[in-house]
Amino acid sequence: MVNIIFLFGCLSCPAQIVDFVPASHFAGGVSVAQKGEWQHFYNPALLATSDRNAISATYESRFAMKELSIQALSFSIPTSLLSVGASVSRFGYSVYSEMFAGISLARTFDRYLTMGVQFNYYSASFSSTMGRKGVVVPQVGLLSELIPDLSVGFCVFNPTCQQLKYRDIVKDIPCVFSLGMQYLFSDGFQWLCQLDKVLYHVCVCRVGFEYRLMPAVVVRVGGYGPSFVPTLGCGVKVGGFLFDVDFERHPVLGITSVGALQYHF
Amino acid sequence: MFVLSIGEAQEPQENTAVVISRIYEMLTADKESDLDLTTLEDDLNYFAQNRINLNNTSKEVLEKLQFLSDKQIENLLYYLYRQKRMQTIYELQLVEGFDMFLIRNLLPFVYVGETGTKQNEFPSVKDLLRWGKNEISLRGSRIWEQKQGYVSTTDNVAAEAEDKRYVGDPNYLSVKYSFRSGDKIDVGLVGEKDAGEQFWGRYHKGFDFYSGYVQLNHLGRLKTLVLGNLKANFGLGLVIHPEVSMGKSTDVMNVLPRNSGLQKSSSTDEYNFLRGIGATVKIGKSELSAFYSYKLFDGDSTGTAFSYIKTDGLHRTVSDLNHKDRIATQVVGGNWSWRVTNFYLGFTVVDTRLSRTLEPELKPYNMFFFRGNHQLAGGLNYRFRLKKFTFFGEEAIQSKGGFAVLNGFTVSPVSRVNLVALYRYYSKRYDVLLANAFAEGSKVNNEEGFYFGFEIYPIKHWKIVAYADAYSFPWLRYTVSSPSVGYDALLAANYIPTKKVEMYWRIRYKQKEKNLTEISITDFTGRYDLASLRYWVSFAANKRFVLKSLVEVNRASSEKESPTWGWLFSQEVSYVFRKLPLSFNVRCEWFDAVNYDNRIYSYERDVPYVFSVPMLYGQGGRWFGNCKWNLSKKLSVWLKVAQTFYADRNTIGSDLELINSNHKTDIHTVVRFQF
Repeated sequence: MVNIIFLFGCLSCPAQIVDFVPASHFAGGVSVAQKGEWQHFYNPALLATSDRNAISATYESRFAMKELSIQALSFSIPTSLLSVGASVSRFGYSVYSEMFAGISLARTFDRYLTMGVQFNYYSASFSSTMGRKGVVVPQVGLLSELIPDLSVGFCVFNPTCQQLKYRDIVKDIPCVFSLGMQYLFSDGFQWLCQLDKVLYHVCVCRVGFEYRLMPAVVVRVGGYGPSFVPTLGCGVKVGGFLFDVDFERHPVLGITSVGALQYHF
Repeated sequence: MFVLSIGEAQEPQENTAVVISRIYEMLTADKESDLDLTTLEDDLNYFAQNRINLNNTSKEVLEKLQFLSDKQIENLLYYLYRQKRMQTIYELQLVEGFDMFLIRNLLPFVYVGETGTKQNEFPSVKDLLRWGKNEISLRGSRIWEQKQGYVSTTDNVAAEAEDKRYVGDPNYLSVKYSFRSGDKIDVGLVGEKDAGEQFWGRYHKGFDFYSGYVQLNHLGRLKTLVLGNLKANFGLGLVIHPEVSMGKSTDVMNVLPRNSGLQKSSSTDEYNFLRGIGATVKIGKSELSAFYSYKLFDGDSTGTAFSYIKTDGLHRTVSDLNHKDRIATQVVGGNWSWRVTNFYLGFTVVDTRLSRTLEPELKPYNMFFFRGNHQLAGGLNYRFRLKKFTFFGEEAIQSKGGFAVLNGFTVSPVSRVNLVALYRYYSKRYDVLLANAFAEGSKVNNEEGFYFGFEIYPIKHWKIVAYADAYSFPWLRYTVSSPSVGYDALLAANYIPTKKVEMYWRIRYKQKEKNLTEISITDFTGRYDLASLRYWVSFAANKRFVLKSLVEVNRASSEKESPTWGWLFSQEVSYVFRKLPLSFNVRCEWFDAVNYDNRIYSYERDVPYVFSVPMLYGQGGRWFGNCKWNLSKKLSVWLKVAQTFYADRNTIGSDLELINSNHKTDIHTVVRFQF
């Protein structure tokens, strides 16, 4: 337990902006500006850019320690009026666990404005005797296609700085502002950048490239920092299934891997 | 239009100097030590006067232009293969990956001529002499102010015997002769005496360092034969690679050393070379190289052992002379390589034997360093293309245990983007004496790291380059008494809005660990970081008058100390006379970097074969004037005078290098005669 808490303390610059949801499997951990690529708990505006129903499962193995793994499930349904999505993630072990669930709504108004909101419910179980306590955490996202190949995304997570208070315990839920960009050099190659600012913490810069090697295979390289953490991943499409995997290596703590399986229908 | 304007902008010789300056600036963007680019300068000077015909060239010739990456050479050769021939030099813009920044560097050394068959036969002696070029250059320099080591005493002999005085005079002197005929033969002699070394006296007679070489190329099956001083550059440097490699620089894609094989060493570097014989034979698609070297180097030998290798080549005191040539080293090695269209495989073995046993004083940080008098190292390197990817790497082991791996790839998914990724792991027991590979530390051992870089041309006139390198040292290092981690990153934007204006912005950030000096009982390590921002702009008012300005600000901080700041501003003027065969450049710069951690390195053009990156710290300024006069077509003279002055001190240096003044003046001159 002490080790696990220590490890969390060491994560001055985690791949994910929030500890209790899996990291983005995109290059460099970017998550706010990829058109057509909505991921649970990241920019909800991206939900409106996908045109097919999807269901996905994600698993993150942090530093190859079972106790630090995170699991998530999500689905999305685009309609002509609104796109709707729902997600749930879980982190924890026998004596401590966290759950995070959210419902997302998004709509594209025109090329320049796509907007999404997400209502999340965060709950934590501190021990079997103390029970579970939760709080609502809002999230808002925007996406704008400034020019045909350049999109800019913005997302704010927990703008109201919600905290989980239970007896003497006060758990801060981070307030995160993310600003990102997607630039398409061609249909098969894109450049992604993102800045994440967690309130009262240092700004994290992310850069990534995604290259479509062949119609069914993409490779992703990138990194984020400080301190610099490189990432390497790939995605494979087989019929309606999409399998993505991403690896990153923290200089001290080791390798974190994220795997995601999606089905579009 | 850009090509034309650049091509006509300056004289070829001037262009050569400008290109060398650019390359050197790129190389030194991230380095703090002097680099020896003699081979590069030799080749560039030669090709400036004997331009490469792009319609009749080869990979080997293009590889001598070290600012071209392997990928760019491949792209150029592929273009020539596909188009059969280039019609005009403007076609360079159509070669994939060739941008205006690269073309500008390339133009002084190439032209578009007739296609023809390559001359593989070795020419007659008469033809060699007829087409050959001779060159003699004399270089002298000295520091104007008197250093403590040159002050006369009542008994100079006694002072010299006690190492309280240098045995020689303060003049530096070197003589170089070279003869080169195409790419067939290269012959040269070098003699050098450093400042403080005795030229003629009781301790020494003649130059302190002599070097000579003969290199023959394309002699039947014999691809290369080198006698005398030579360099053997094989693989990615995990086994042997004395030539300087790009490493981390603003040329982010060109991270790996060129696998240039055997070649002569014309440098005045007194340590980094082999002395003997080497040959490369071509057998079908394979090449087989073998070399043998026997040379002496300096060390502090006592009995049958020595604790360190002295590499500076300075023999200014009696102690230096006592350490001179104390250790003999014998190197036997070979390389086999096999190349087919998109695949290259090489295998290198080097056996090094020392006449005495290397036994460094045992410290925690060096307990895994090489000890002994025999070392055998071998490495396997590869390179292959797969679609738009180029994969490369080298894996090496040594006889005393330990291994090293270096693997990576480059990819150009679209013509406007190039990416490179590199992974390295050098185990702490791997310590090969002749290795020189991509690394953060000064040795190729005890290191693991990832390097990721990209080069993007987002819109016209702009180029953005960036790299990030994260590394860790699993064992202790000198002045770092624990395993440590670090990373550094660079982001640079280059902008050429018109043919007259050029500028760049560059941000660098570096974070490492080191011992906290104030703790004396037990060493604790702490983090320190350095961030710097540089803006450089060049304005060419016309073809002859160029202004250059530079501003740099940096910030150094550590866990225990509050941040400190440093800045530099410099202004340079270059002018080429219209009627006189004279050109000059003058620069003034002011700096305020009181803390040593805020020191600023600022590259400045110097006389030929001198590469100057003064380290500026403290408060003060520096100016220099550098001129070149072509007295005739065959005779040229360079003169440079530079002075650094300080506002915060009355003495400069320490011990025998002490100058009792707040300024230091360097004078360099070169006379070159070509015939």
